[in-house]
Amino acid sequence: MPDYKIYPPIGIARVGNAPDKFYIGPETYRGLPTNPDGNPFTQDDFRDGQGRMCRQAARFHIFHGDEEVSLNTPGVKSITWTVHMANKKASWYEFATNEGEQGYASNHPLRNAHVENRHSLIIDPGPRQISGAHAGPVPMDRHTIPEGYKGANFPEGILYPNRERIDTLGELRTDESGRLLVLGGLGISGTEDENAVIKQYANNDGWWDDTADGRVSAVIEWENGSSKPAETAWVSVAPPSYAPEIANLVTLWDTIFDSAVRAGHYPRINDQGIWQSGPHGYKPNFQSEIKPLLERATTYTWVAAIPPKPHSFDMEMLGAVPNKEDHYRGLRNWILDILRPPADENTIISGRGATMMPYLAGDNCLIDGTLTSNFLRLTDTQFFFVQQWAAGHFVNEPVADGGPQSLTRNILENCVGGAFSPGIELTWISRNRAIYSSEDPFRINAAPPTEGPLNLGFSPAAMEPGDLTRYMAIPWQADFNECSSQPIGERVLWWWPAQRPEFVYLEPRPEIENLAAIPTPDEQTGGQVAWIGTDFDQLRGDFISFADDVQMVQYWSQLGFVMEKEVKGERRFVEVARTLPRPFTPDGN
Amino acid sequence: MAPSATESYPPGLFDRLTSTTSPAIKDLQEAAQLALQVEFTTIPVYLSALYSISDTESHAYQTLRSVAMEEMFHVNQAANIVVALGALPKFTGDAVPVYPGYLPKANPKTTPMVGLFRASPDVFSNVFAAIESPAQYGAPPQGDNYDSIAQLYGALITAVNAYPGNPFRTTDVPGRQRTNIYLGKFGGNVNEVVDKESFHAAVNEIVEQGEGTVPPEKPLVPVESFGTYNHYGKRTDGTYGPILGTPYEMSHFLKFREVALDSGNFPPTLPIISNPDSSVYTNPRARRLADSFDHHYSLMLRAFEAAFKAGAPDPYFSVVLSIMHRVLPHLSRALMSTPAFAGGDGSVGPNAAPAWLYRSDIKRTFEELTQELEGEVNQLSTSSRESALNTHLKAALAGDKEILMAAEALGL
Repeated sequence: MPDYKIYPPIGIARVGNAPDKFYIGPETYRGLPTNPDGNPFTQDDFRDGQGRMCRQAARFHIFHGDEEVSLNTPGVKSITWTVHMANKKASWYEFATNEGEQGYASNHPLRNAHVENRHSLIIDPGPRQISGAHAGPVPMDRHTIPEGYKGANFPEGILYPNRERIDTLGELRTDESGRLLVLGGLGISGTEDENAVIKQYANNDGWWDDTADGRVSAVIEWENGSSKPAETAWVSVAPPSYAPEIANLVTLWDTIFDSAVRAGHYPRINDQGIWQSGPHGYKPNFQSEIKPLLERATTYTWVAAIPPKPHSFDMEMLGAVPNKEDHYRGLRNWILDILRPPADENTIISGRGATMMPYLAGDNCLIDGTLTSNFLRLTDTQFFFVQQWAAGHFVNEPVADGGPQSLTRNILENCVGGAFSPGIELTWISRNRAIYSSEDPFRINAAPPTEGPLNLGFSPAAMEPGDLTRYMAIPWQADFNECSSQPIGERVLWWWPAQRPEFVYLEPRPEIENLAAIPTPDEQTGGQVAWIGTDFDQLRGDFISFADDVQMVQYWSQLGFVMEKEVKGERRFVEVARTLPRPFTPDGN
Repeated sequence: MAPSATESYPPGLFDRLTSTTSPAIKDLQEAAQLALQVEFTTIPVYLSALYSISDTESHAYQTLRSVAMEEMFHVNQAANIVVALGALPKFTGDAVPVYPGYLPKANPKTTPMVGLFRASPDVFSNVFAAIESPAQYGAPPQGDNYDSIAQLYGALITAVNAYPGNPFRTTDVPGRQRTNIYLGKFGGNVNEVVDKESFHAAVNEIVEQGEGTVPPEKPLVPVESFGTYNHYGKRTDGTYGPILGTPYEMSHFLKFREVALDSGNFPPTLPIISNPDSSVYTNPRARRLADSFDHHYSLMLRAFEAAFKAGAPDPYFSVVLSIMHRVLPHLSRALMSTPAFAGGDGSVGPNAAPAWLYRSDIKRTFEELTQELEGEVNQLSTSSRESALNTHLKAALAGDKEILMAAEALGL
């Protein structure tokens, strides 16, 4: 096992259509992004001078134990990073909720099944290298394919509806200390078919997008002439995060952590399949393992139309550790009892008549059959923590934030851990333990460098560029548009409001000074409005979404972000940096 | 029906409240305590019917549940008014409702007889909707009686308005107002009552939620700074989802009316006795469970009363909420699955039902109640006919055991 490791083991970059200006993805939980020049991040930094959306770079660090190693570390002569990303979406199976999670059936359709040369369906620029401080940009484009690389491929023609070409999957840069910055694509999606029709949320033959994923490796060269490789990491490119300071109830960290707990990596929690419950078992920490779940429910009220009262919690009561007396067990039980337990994925109303939480759509509410899973629930590990807490077996201690493990957790907690239908950053492949190192629960088994072409199959012990994102919707905008609300039975549920807002609050409009006019009260002042589309009829085609997924391909980069601001003396999360008019009516062309 | 002008009433509480320019604080306290009791009286009525509905997903169940929960909000809010007027809210003794009967001090000629009934469309229309029926314009309450809940509040508002100065106090009062015990997604926010303005806001919310005097298109609170999607329910687009404010359609009156009119879809109910009296039961288990229910209920009421006392230990989250949430619902359903008469068949009935009797004759400790329930569980057969009873009794016992330590610490 090498002494040097790249962190985070999985880093997330995000698309944007600004060619130059970018920011570094949040490295704190529910944090704002970081500006490359170190200036405080403001709402003006979401876009460049021409109003184009900035890309979010994934930053990679090298750690030796808990110590970071960079160009500033004494004795380090250089750090050379190698990144190889690809997009295999068009060459993979169709996404059909959770079918395929346990291996694909022989009748499961491929995307673009009519195309015989499957390699022609992969976007692959080959590997790129970068070293030094403030280096780059090193483009991962069609014009700079490394000599001798045999797998390079890009879609050929003009892509509609936007008449653009996918020429690049992004670029590499380094920061002032030689840490790696990976920028993804420009958010270009399209098809060579001029009609540019999107037929469904996940699978659209002929379509391309420029997201990608792949391995990140590094070699440290010392001044004494020796060199040392660092353990590889992975970078994955995702849609924008429109509400970076709001987290999902189940984050990607929770999901991967849960799979690791159940695989035996954390025997204090689950030992050989036995949950360590009871007064002498695992005691979750209220501050790091319970309170964040409650806060996520609270912050959802800013991006979805959900009642604030039941989502507000008295943390002092709920965090009071019982000693001789337990004054709040009833209150903790009250919360436990409305949380959907494992194996109740299809229950919306409990036996007591309560609506089970979360009120979010599940992994498979789209296809009837044996794998139906209508509603999201906490992971097994999260639910176990809540059970222990409700029973009074918990501690309430401050948590030290820092070091590589925190970095990993923070970055993945800003991502979606469910529902995987397919998801935002990654889908259910993220909970398949076979793709992770048996020694390092968050590190992906990377295949050795290749001269191409890339493999067309699934080899979890040797994951290749493109093997994580290929499950996701093609183009991503289709799923992103449709997965706002979901009718299930008589109810309409929400998908990922923390990543893709549904209802937002606006900043108050500047008051127009017109003393002659009689002021009229506006009942919508301060009320929630749809982030996209209309909100008066849950059955309308444009209910909190665009009526046509192609409009998301056209307008995604103009949508607003949700940011915490002080408004009228209160801290509120409000929409900022929107360039799309409000109200917005697509021209219908 | 409005009372005829020829009838005469002896001067009572309402005459004193509405005919003076300086009402006595004692009368205000009495009227607020009366409001509290009126609100409270509806809860066992609604809950008995609620638990008799076996399909918890049904529209009737969900509707009734939402109203029952909002009545708990009304009780809490009324208790805060009592506290602010310098009295202690009473939930025990003669403040406990007795069934069947009328709402406390309600006019028997114009208000419905309330009782503990098995749910049916007729009960929804003739009892529930009648309880929540809107006030007739301008009809003041007379004597010791009122014709609608809104009238009762109307008299209280008139008297508070007439009171010279601020009748409400937040310091040097024996009680403590509560704003943290009304949980869940249902409508309304409990507020502290500090002056006439906050009192008006509190009463308006209660009355409008009950009877819906707001025009349909207006939200209850016209302009809230944020958080306007306050409720989930049937929307005007015909779907279930987020709703702005509290529109008229969500008043208790119209909610009940809607269920009653849709009688064809009324869900199945358990075959319980209406207005139960356990002394006539010949099935000994039914008598024992009825007894256990009443004692749990009585203990909960005593603890609830204590939860509003300033400076005393707060039993709400350790005992009251747990009995309310994890014990009584299960005991109710256990009773409702138990034949009232020896040799009976629980699926045919008639089955027992909670009588909501306040027991001050014999006080049992919580430990005794738990032990008795444990004995009851130990006697259960494994027969599949008793599986529902089995499930509910075990759940109630588990609830009891969780409360035991806290109850002992509080001397209950």
